[in-house]
Amino acid sequence: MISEAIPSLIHAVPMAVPMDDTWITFDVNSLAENFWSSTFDGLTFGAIYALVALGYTLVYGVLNLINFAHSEVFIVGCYGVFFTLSALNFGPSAPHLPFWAIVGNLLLALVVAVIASALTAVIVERVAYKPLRRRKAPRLAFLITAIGVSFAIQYLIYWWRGPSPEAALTMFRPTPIFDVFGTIVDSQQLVIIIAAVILMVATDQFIRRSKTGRGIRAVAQDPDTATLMGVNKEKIILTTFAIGGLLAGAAALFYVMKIPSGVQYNGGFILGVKAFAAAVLGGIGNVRGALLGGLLIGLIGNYGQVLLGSSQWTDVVAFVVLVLVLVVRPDGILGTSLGKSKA
Amino acid sequence: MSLLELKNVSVHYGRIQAIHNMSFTVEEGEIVSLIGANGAGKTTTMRTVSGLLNPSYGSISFMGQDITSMKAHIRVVKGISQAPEGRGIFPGMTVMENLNMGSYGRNDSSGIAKDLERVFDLFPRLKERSKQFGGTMSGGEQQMLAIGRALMSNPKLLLLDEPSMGLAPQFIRQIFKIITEINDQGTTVLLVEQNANQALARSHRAFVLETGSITHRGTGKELMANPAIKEAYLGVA
Ligand SMILES: Nc1ncnc2c1ncn2[C@@H]1O[C@H](COP(=O)(O)OP(=O)(O)OP(=O)(O)O)[C@@H](O)[C@H]1O
Ligand SMILES: [Mg+2]
Repeated sequence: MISEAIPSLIHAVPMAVPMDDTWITFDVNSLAENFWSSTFDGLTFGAIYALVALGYTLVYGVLNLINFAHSEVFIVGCYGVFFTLSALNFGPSAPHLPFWAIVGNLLLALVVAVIASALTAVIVERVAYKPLRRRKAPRLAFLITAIGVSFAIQYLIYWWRGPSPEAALTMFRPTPIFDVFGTIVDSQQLVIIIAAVILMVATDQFIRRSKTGRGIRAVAQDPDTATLMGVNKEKIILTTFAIGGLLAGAAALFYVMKIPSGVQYNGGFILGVKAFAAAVLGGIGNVRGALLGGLLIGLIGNYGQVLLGSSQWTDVVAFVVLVLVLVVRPDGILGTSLGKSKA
Repeated sequence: MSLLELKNVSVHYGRIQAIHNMSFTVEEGEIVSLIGANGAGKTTTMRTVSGLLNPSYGSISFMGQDITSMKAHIRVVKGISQAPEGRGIFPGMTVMENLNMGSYGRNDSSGIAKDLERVFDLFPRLKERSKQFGGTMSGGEQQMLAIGRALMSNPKLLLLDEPSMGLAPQFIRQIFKIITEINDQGTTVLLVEQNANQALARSHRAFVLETGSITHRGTGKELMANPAIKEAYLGVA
């Protein structure tokens, strides 16, 4: 399933040269030297994972379903970004446009991506999952369908766009903004982290405080009783998919910003797996867990990469940590579900 | 016109038939009880009235309107509210949030405020504990919360499925007193109970359910005097 053509999430961190005769070298010096740059870059990736993880966690909360097609909901958003920016004449090198023109263009790409992803999520729910629900299909049928939908969308894109990645798009040239302990934080990292944090806080508050959020929590805790309260369960489920899709669409913009050549038919796979891992790490079904898990997966992957001296280790380290955490806390760090989590 | 009318209703779980050709009415202003042994089909009947289950045959009407195929969440807005068996408290929500769930389908904030006041008058404990999580309330408190929450939709018909389940005798008397009080305030009540003594004493009319069929019907007093029922349900030898 993992093709060699997947754009890897190789982070631009200076690496120490590992010794030739040992299989694994722990380069503690390198980690010490690159600690802050790894941290900021890890948080940037972590913010993207967290936004995608929210989609997994919300849908799991209301349906107890791992929506494997969520990685494709994300990649459709990436295509939304790609087509919008291509149409606006963005290319491999950063555009020569005034600041506000760039902001406007990116916002437009964001809107298109959000709509594309949310629409995909909603269509997947209506076409694939709702008929199963109506027939009271067993859990396994949902799982197989989810995997099937994931492949179906991937190959639909493959058939349409072919196997190779789309041309790289650079949105803007990252410029240094400030300096933390001798490490430069650039505009790209800052934009991604700030925007993602705003979206995460908004999602968290929406689930906690809004009426629809209360409906989502009620359905997650006890769907039948929620119905007895006058909650339209089907509408809540659809809304939940739409919110997950919306966040995936936003994540898509940041992802393409970070990895300009990442738009490819199967480009959502690895990211989807890591976001799912993030959701599990934090406690699946738990909104704050998804946020924490995402940031941790981003950070741990980066630290591991620097410590072990190779980007090949990024994912391995993240998953080893995931397994270790699950041994100690089987329900994830924050545990409990969307339903049972306090307020 | 009856407030609620079931005509020849049958309900199936897959191939198993739980309710056989059941007909009964509930008139406005009444307390009507459904009593019967475990597995008789009481909860199935309640869930069919609230719309969580659909009858395989027969029809249900409410205030003269056929609601047989009406979605459950719309029936709530129409005036049917259920405190489910096992209470169905949302454990991760506070008492206040649970009560707010009860008025989910409403938009009239002044009406909601009035009903909240009514619920706090009936159950002062809920007001004291409004910030406590539902899951940490005692069984009796949860039952109060379940009833209070069901009242928050300002129902015309209140469905109570075993409100006395698992409660101490003193608490049971209190719950029944409150049910009568709710009824005196103008809410019609359809009550499912294992505690037949109390239920019959407080009900205008009652039905006895055996394996999915109604076997006896009458006023509370009549059924209490019936020797067969005395022996089977009232614990009188
Ligand atoms: N989800 C279900 N699937 C299959 N059969 C069911 C289901 N729910 C209930 N039944 C069956 O339907 C019959 C009636 O059940 P119901 O829950 O209505 O009984 P009850 O009168 O409420 O009993 P209790 O006093 O124990 O609550 C029982 O034989 C039960 O086993
Ligand atoms: Mg029952």
